[in-house]
Formats: sequence, structure tokens, C-alpha cells
Amino acid sequence: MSTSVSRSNTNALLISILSPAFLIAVLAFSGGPGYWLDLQWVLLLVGGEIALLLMGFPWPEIRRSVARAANRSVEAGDSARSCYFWEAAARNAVNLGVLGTLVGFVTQVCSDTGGLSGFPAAFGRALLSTTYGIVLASIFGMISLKFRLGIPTADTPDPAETWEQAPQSSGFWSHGLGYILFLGLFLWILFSSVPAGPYRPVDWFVHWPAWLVVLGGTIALALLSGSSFIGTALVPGFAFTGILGSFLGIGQALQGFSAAKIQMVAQGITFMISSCFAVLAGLLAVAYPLLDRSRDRRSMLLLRVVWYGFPVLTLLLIATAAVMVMIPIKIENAGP
Amino acid sequence: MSRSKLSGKDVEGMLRRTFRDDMPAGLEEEMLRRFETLWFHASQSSAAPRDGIASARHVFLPHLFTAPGLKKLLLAGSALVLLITGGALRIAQSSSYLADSIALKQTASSVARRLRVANQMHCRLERFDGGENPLLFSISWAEGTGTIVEIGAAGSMEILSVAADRIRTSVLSPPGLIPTGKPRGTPARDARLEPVADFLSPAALARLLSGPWLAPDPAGPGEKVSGDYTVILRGGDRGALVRIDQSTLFPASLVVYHSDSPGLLVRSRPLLTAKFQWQQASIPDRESR
Repeated sequence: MSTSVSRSNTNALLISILSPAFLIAVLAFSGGPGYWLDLQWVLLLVGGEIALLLMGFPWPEIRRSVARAANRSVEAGDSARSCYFWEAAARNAVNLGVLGTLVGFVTQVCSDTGGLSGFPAAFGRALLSTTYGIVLASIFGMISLKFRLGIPTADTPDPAETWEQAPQSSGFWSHGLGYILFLGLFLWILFSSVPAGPYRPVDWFVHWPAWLVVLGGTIALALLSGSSFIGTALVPGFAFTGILGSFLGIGQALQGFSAAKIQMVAQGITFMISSCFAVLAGLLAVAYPLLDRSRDRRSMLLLRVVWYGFPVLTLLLIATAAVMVMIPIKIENAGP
Repeated sequence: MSRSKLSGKDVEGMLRRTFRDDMPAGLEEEMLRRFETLWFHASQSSAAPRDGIASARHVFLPHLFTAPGLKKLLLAGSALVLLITGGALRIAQSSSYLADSIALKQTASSVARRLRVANQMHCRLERFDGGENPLLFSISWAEGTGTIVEIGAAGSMEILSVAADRIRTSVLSPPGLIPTGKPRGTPARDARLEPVADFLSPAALARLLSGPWLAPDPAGPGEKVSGDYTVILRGGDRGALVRIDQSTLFPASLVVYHSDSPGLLVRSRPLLTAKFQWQQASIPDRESR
């Protein structure tokens, strides 16, 4: 145990040095704080993180995990659940960051004020949200690692708090507060991005075919999984449906390029982007909180792949969509 | 394990095999802890079947078919309805603002590219500068030849000037079309050509249309035709309604208005109207130009 405590101290020291150094380096090498500061995305990340943690964990557990993270040493009994708490925080940060980038991308595409020439710059601005998410995830991941290094081995059992120990509080009020906060924040993010032209966020963000396919597919996959934990079933269910929807969309878009049909390309990109948006919204609002509350630790490898794999895939698809939007359709030898 | 299925002797035998005398130290506590864990998981789920411990072994066991309940059937039915509805809407290609916006941006990009590969353009233009009768312009541009502009009123058109715009292959230009004393490639423009300077060549037209493109407001007045777009023209003080030929992606017509407000464009008086005829390069390698 003394070895793990010593390693945790070293880790905590590294975190406290590296995190500010990383932020300072980012600011110093990339155009100053003015370029890197976007309050909209800061609020989305910070507020969203707080809301999601409240949705997934009872208040006493949040308080305990935060208090333990502030301690420089890790005592036996701190480990497993606090490790998961901070890992969930890192997961939420990455997913929220990519969701923000997706919102920024859609807003830019639909914005009447944005010409094609300003599109890359605006897209770069939307990527700030993912950058914030990665910075937060790095910090939370390091804290989680601190607890992971402190997880007792078989020689030093963890009698004080096992992973599966039922929570003392049901967390009704903290979960409710979390949902209200998340909903308010989500609506604020959607409705605050008001450009000069007509703004219809429901039309912009809700493409019904994609949302219905994602919802139906997720329910079907969750049922097929047979899992008694809805959260555990929903996470891969959402992800697999999202991947399916995205690939259907990208296939249609490529067909559109081949057939020189702009509408087909646009429909394909829309389906792809909307599928990702529906999946991220579903994961954050429904699946992750249920998973966190279930205290189910099975299939963690698969779950971790989804936690980080799907946002990365979404980011790649957004970049692909951005390139596709700007690539002109090629018409061979068409007469006037 | 169910008592109805196993006799007392079976249970005793199984327990003896499981908790053997030579069990390593600590294993018994670990096994008990895991049993408690599984019972906790089973008790947490209201949907768990009676043999919930078995279902906790793996996430992807198809228990849907072994334990069908009304709730699951309803959910399965809902999923099917959602999938069918979503698929039908997708096949029907239901309209979406996002798709329209993507199509708009891609149209702008594609039109700009098409204008780069055109090799002949004819434009008939009417300009309304406050008088009763519009001033007529007939502009013919061909790559390598230059631009010929005729100006006048209906029935009395005359060649006003010949402008050498973007001349590249001078050997193809007929004698006299290139003004002497001017550097090649520099337009020699009559002052009266200035009002139509943006229409003297596809390149000039592409620059004019390089501003933001807007989809016609569905709630706004005026007839909505597929392929009609509003463009804020270069400089930002004028707007235009441009109709794009969907099969060739060349502009078919253009109406320029004074206002740059999308809502006012269709109501304000036009400054000029232009109708185009195009011919594109037929050699594929010109596409890479």
C-alpha cells in the first residue's frame, strides 16, 4: 500500500505541475488568450460537466470524490468509485466538447451571414469547444489515474468502500437538479447562437429521419443485448446506431458526388451529422447518467471504446462534412 | 440455482465442490463478495428476470427471446415503428433546413468552379437607371478572343466597344480586337462599360457572386423556384436573385437589387436583369484549370 501511496503522491505532483504548464504552453504558442477564449464553449463545458455529474452521481458521492481529489495522498478505501467518478468526468468533457463543435458546425452551415470564404475560420472557431473538452478530460483523466494507482490489490482489500456498495443517498434531488441544469444549458447553447438571419434551431438540429432511426435502432439493440442494466445497454446501442447512420449518410453523400447531384450530397451529409448529434445528445442526456447510476462495471473495455471512440469518430465525420461542403460538384461535359 | 430443480443432495454436492477444503486463502471472501455484487445488480434492475444472476454474466446474451414480456414487446414494436418511419422519411428525402443550407453552400462553390471552366458566355442585360427605357447590353465573351459588348436600345444595338478581358491565347484573337498600345490582358474600357464591368467575363461574374449566398426565405413573398438563390454581391450594398440551372450549374439569370436585405430584395425595384447562355470546355483536362 505504501508503494501505491507514494506513486499517487508523485502523480499528484506531476498533475499540479503539468496541467498549468500545458495551458500556458497552449496559450503562448497559439495566438494569445484572446483567440482561445470563447465564453459560450467555456460555459457549455463547465456547466455541462456539473450537470452531467449531478445527473449520474448522488451529491454525497460527488462531494467525497472532489474532496479526495484535493487531498495529496490517497488512502485505502478511496479508490474504485472515485476513480470511476473522475473517469466519467473526463468522458463527459470529451463528449461535451465534440457536441459543442457539432453545434458550431451546424450553426455555421445554416448561418445566413457566413460566406464560403469565412467557413474554414468559423469551423476552426467551433473546434475550440473540443479543445476545451480535451484540456478538461486530460486533467480529470489524470485525477482518475491518481485513484487508479491507489486501487488496493488483493493483498490490501478495500473494506471501507467497495465498488458495488449501494449508495447511501438515492440522489433524487441532485439528479433532478442535474437534469434541469443540463436542459437549460442545452437550450441556451442552441438558442444563443443567433446569427443575423432567420434562426430556427429545431429545423437546424432536428432532422427527423436521423433522430427516428437512431432512437429506434438504439431501443432495438438495447433489447437485443438482454442486459438488465439499461445504461449499459444504451451506451453501445446509441454508438452502434450512430455509426450505422453515419455510414449510411456518408455513402449517400459519396453517391451524390458520383452522380453530380447536390441535393443527394446534402441529404447524405445531413443524415450523417444529424445521426452524430442525436447519438451524442442521447448518450449525454440518457445513457451516461443511467450507466453511472447503475454502478455496473462489466464490459468496461467496450464502454471505454464507445466513450472516447464515438466522439473521435464524430470529429472526423464533422471534418469530412466540412470538406464535402466546400468541394464543388464536378459535372463532366454538360451542355448549356 | 433453484431448489425446485435441484435436490438437497445436489446442492450439498455442488457446495462441497465449490468450497473445497483446499481452497486458497482469501478466495472464499472474494467469491462471497462477487456473489453479493451479482445479487446487488440483480436487485437493482426491476426488469431483471428471476434468474438475474445468469443475465449478469454477459451484456450481449439474447434474453429478449427467452424472457419476452409485454414491456419488451411494446418497446420492440416502438423500435420497429421508429425505424420504419425514419427509413421512410429518409427514402422520401424529407426537406431539412440543414440539407438546404449545405446544398446552398455547395451550389455556390460549384457555380464558382463552373464559371472558371466556361469557354463561351453570352449575356443579355437590361439596366434600369431611373429612366423609362432600360439600357440594353449584349455581352459576348469567348476564351482567347475577348469580350464584345453591344449597347443601345431595342432595335438599335451597336457595338460600343471591344474589351480585351483575360486574353490568354492571342494567336486566336482576330486582328483589331486587341487595342494597340495597351499591355496584353489589361481591359481597355469605355466609361460606359463600367455599369456592366462585372459581366464582361465569367471571372468577373464569379467575383461578383463571391459573397454570401442565402436560401430564399420560405416565409417571404414571391414565387419560390428550385434553383433560385439570393446573393449579397461584392461590396455588400447590393443583393441579387440568381437562378442556377440545376443540370449545368451555370447561372441562368440574375436580377440585381439595390438593397442587401433578403426580405426587401424581392420587393424593391431591380437595378438590372441579366440572362445568360453558356458553353463549357469539352476537354476534360480543362477541369483542372
